[in-house]
Amino acid sequence: MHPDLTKVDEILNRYPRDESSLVMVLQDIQSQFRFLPCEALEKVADDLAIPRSRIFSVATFYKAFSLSPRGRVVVQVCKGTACHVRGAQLLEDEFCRQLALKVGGTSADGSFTLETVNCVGACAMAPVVVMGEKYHREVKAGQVPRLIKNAQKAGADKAESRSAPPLPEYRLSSAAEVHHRNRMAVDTRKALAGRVQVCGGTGCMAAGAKDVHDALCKAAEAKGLPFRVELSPCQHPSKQYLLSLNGCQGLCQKGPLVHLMPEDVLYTHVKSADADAIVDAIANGTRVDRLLGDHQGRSDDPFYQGQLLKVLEHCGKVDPESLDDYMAHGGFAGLAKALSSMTPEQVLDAVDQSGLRGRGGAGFPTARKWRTALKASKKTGTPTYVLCNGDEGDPGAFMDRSVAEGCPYQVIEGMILGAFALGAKQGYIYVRNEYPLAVARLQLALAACRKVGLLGDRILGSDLSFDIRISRGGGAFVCGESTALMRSIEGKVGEPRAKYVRSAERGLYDSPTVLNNVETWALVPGIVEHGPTWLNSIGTDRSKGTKVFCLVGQVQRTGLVEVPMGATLRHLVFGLGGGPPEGRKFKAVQTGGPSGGCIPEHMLDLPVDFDKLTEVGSMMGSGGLIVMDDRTCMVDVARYFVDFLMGESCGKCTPCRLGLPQLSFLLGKVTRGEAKEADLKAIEEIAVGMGENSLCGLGKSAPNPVLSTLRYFREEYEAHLRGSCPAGVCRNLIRYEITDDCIGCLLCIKACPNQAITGEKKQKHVLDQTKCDKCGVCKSVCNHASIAVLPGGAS
Amino acid sequence: MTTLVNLTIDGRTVRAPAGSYVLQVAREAGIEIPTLCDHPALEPVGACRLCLVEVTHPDWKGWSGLMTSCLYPVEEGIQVSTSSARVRDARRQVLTLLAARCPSSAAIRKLAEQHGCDTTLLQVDPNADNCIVCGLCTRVCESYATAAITTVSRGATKAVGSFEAQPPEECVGCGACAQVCPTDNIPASRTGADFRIWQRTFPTFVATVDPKRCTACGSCEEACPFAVARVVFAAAGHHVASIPAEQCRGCGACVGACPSGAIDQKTYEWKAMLEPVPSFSQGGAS
Ligand SMILES: Cc1cc2nc3c(=O)[nH]c(=O)nc-3n(C[C@H](O)[C@H](O)[C@H](O)COP(=O)(O)O)c2cc1C
Ligand code: SF4
Ligand code: SF4
Ligand code: SF4
Ligand code: FES
Ligand code: FES
Ligand code: FES
Repeated sequence: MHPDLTKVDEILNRYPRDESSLVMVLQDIQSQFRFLPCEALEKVADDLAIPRSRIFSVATFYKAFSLSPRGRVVVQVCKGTACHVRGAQLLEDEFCRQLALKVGGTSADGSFTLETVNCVGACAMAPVVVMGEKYHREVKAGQVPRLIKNAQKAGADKAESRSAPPLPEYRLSSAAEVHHRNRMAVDTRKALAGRVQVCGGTGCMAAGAKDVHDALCKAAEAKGLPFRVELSPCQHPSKQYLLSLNGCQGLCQKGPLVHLMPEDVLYTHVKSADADAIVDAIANGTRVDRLLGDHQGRSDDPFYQGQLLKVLEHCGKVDPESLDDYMAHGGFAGLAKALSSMTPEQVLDAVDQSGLRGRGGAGFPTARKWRTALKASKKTGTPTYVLCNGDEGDPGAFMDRSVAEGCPYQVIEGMILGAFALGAKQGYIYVRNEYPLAVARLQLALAACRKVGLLGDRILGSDLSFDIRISRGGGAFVCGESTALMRSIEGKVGEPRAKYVRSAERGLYDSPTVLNNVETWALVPGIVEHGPTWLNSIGTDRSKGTKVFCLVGQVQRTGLVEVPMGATLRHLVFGLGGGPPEGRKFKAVQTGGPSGGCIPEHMLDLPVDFDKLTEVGSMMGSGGLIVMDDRTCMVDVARYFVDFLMGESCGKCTPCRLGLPQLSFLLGKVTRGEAKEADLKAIEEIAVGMGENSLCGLGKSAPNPVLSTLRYFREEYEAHLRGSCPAGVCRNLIRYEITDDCIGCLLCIKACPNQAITGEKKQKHVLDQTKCDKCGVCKSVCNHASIAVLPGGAS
Repeated sequence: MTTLVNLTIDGRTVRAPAGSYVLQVAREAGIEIPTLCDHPALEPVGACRLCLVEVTHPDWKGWSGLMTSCLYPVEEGIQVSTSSARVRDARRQVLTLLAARCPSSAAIRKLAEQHGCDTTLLQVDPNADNCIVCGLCTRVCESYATAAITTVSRGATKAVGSFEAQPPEECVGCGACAQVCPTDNIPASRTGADFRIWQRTFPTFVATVDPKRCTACGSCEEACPFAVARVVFAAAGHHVASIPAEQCRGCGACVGACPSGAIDQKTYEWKAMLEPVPSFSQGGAS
C-alpha cells in the first residue's frame, strides 16, 4: 500500500522549506500515517533538499518516530522515576503479558502498540499509563485487563478537543495602552461576583477536569446562574461568575480541583456529578462540605503553607488561554515599563542585581550569559537568538510543563524582555514532544500576542521587532542539553558538541545564543516590573529567589510547590508533603533527575540551593524531588537511572555509549544476587571514569545516581551480594507470601496469571513458590493487605 | 596575521598559532597522542575520547581539567600534560570499553594491550562487529563523496548504515569509507572488475595514458580530484603523465580534461584497489 503523498505535501506546506522544519515535518507525518513510510521520507528529502541518509539518521535518533506502522491504540506505560518507584515495572510486565507483546511491539491485528515513555509530566498521579491520548492515573497491575478491554471497545481515545477561543480584537500600540488595558481588565475582574476556577493542568485533566468544567457550565445554565467564560466588560457584572479552566494549582493528587474565589474554597476530587451541588451552593452562598476534605481552601491547607509563589504567582489563577486575564494580573506591565522607561542595559542590570541564576539545573548566572552573548553579538554584528528550554527531560519533574500550560504569557513576556535587553530578532521555545497541551497553549498565546502587537514588528510602537517560533522535540532527553537542543532546532540529530566555544558566543546557526529554562524566563517579568529586590530579598547568599519543585514518589501529598531557596528538604518532604504514606519509613529523596543523587535521611536538614546540593553529590536539576520510603531498593534505583540514560545517550562518545551498558550489566548482576565485591569496585571505576571522560553533561553526570547510592546506601548493595533485597523489590531476591490476614476471597486466585495460588473460599489461600514469577498482580488486587513481600528469595 | 601563543606540552615550551588545536600542535612538536576519531582531512568531533589531555594554567588556581585535545584551541600560557595519571586512566577506560565492545578487532586489541586494559569483569560479546562509532566513514562520505551512509539510532545501539538499511543508491563506490575505518569494519572487496561495497557492485575503470599522445601538459594532474595523476620524468629529458592503476579511483575526470585525447579508461582487473589514497591527508578540510 502506498501512502497518500498529497498528505505529505500538505504537511510540508505548513513549515518553511528548510532543514529546520525536518523534525516537525516528520512528527506530522508520524501522526498522519502512524509511522514514517519510506516513500514519504524520500519525498521530504527531495523537497527539503536534505540527503536521504540524514533524514534516516534523524528518523532513527528520535524516539517519537517509528519506521513500521503503530497500532490503533498506543499504550504508553510511564517509566519515569516517580512512576518507577510506585511500581511501573510491574505494570509494564503485566501489559506485556496481557497483550502478548514486547515493549515496542505491535499486535498482529494492528490494534495495540506497547511502548514505554519517560515521564509524561503527570507524576503526582503515578503510576501513569497513557492509552491513545487518554491518561490513566494510579494504575494497578490488577486493572490492566480491564483497561485493555475498554480500549478495545472504544478504539483510540481522542483527547478532548476544544475549539480555540477567539483571538483578541484590539491592538496595543504603546506602553500607555498596556497600562490602560491592565486597569480595565482588573476592574472588569473585580466587578464580578466571583470566579470558579477548574484546574486544567495535566494532572486534573487526567482525572476528568474537562468533564467537570463542562458539567458546571451546563448546571449553571440549567439553574440560571450567570457563568461567563470570557473576561470582558458586561452588564450587571456583580451578578456574574467567571468560569475558567486554569493551569495547575499544585495539589494534583487531589484533582480534579475546583477553586472558588474570592472566598478561597478549594473543592477536591470533584466529579461531573458534583456540578449541580456546586452551582447550588454558589447560588445560595453555602459550601459543599463533602468536597472540602480536611481543609477549607488554600490558605489553611498545610500543602500551601510555607510556600512562596513567584514563578507560580499566576499559575492556576489565570486563564492560560486568555490574554486579558493575564492583563488583569498585571501582565505585560513589566514589558511596558521596560519599553517606555528603561534602556536595554538597565534591564540587563536589573536581572544582574536580582541575582537570578538559571533554573534549568546548573544555576549559571543569567546576566553573565546575557552579557557574553551581547558582547559577541556586538563584535560580529549578528543578532542574538533567544531560546527557551522547555524540554524538561528529567523524569519525575513537571514544573516547566505546569508553567507553560498554566501561564504561557509569562514565559513569553520574559522572552520579549530578553530580546529587548539583547537586541534579538528571533526566539524559539523548544518544547518536548510529550507535552501537547503546553504546545497548544503556547501556540495560542503566541498568536494572541502577534495579533495585538506584543510580538512582530515594532512591538508597542518601539524599535523592538521580535517574534517567537515553537520547536517541538522528538523524544530525546539529551536534547535538553544546550548544544544538542540547538542542533535539534536546526533539524539535525541531537548530538552535543564540546563547549570550548560557548554557545552564548556561537550557538544556534553559529550565532550568539541565549538559552534559558522556562522557569528562568518566567521570573524575568517580575524582576523588571518590581525591581531586583523582588527576587534578591529572598533566598540564600548565593541562590536568590524561590525554586519550584515537584514533590512526587512515596509521599502523602504530591504536587507542585514553590519555596524560597534555602528551605530544608525536611520542610519540603515532611512539612509540605506530609512524609511517606501509611506511616512508612523515609529512606531517601532523589533530586536532580538522572544527573542527581539520592540524599539520605541524616541530610534532610540541608538547605536546598544550587551549591549545597552539588556539595553532597547531587544537584538541583530542574527541581524534581522524588521521595523514597523503605519500599524502594537503592540498587534498583541506581540501575533504573542507568537504564534510563542508556536509552537516552546520544551514542556519540565512547564512555557514555559503552560505559552505561556495562554499568547496567554489572548492576543487573547485583540485583540478581550474582555479584561479588569485585563487581562493586568495577561499577565504581566505570562510573568515576565516565564522569571524567564523557563529552557532555549527560555522560558526565550519569554516574551521580550510582555513586551517591554507593556512598550513602552501601549496606544495601552488600545485602544484595549476600542474596537479599531488604526493600523487597529485586525479583530474584524476594518472595511473595500470603499472611494469616487472608480471608479467602478468591480474588488473587482469579488474578494470578501463573495459577500459583490455590485455596477454598473463606480459607487461607496457598501460594506455590515454584510457580510464582513475582508479577505482583495478587498483591495489587488483594483488598485486605494479606500478601506480603519478604526479602530473601523463595524459601 | 595569525598571532602566536606560548604554551607548554609535557614541560616543553611550544609556540603555535592561536586557535589551532592542541592535538595538531603536539603532533607537530613530535609528541604523540593516541586518537581514533581524528583525521587530518576532516573536522574534529571529539567522539572517541582517546585524545584527552590534562590542561591547566597558572591563573586557574591549581585547577586542571581533562580536555579533548583534537578540539581544544591553544591559549596563551596553558600547560598541557599528555601522560599524567589522569590522562592514562582516561585512555585505559576508553580502550577497555572498546576492547569489550569489539573483541575481534586486532587494532583495538593492540591498543588495549599497550594500555594495560582488563575486560574480565565486563560483558563481552565475541560475535560483535568492530564498529567503534568513530564516525570517520560517515564524515568522509559526507565531506568528500555523497552522504550515502550515516549514523543510525542512538546510544548503545548507534551504528553505521544507510537509508532504510537498503544498499545506498547514492554510493559511488569510491571506497573511502572502508579505507578510513580504523577497525576495518566496512567490507569491501573486488572480484575481477567488480568492486563490491555496501551490497552494491561497481564496475571499476582505471585511466591509462597513451605515452605517444601525451604532451605532458599537466591538465590531468590539475583535474584529478585524488592527486593520483602526475606528470613525471620519464627518460632522457622526456616528461609523461603517470596514473598508477592501483591508486586510480576511476572517476574519469582526467579523460575529459586531456586536450590531446591521450587518456582512456579500461576495466581494472588485476589488483586489489584498497591501497592507501595519498590524497586524503592532502585534501584538507576547508
Ligand atoms: C543531559 C542534559 C539535559 C538537560 N535537560 C534540561 C532540561 O530538560 N531543561 C532545562 O531547562 N535544562 C536542561 N539542561 C540544562 C541546559 O543545558 C541548560 O544549561 C539550561 O537550559 C540553561 O538555562 P538556565 O541557565 O536558565 O538554567 C540539561 C543539561 C544536560 C547536560
Ligand atoms: S556523554 Fe553521552 S550523550 Fe553526551 S555526547 Fe557523549 S554519548 Fe552523547
Ligand atoms: S564508498 Fe560509497 S559509502 Fe563509502 S564513502 Fe564512497 S560513496 Fe560513501
Ligand atoms: S565503520 Fe569504521 S569508520 Fe565507520 S564509524 Fe565504525 S569504526 Fe568508524
Ligand atoms: S508521569 Fe511518570 S514519572 Fe512523570
Ligand atoms: S494539575 Fe490540577 S493541581 Fe496540578
Ligand atoms: S581524537 Fe579527539 S576525541 Fe577522538
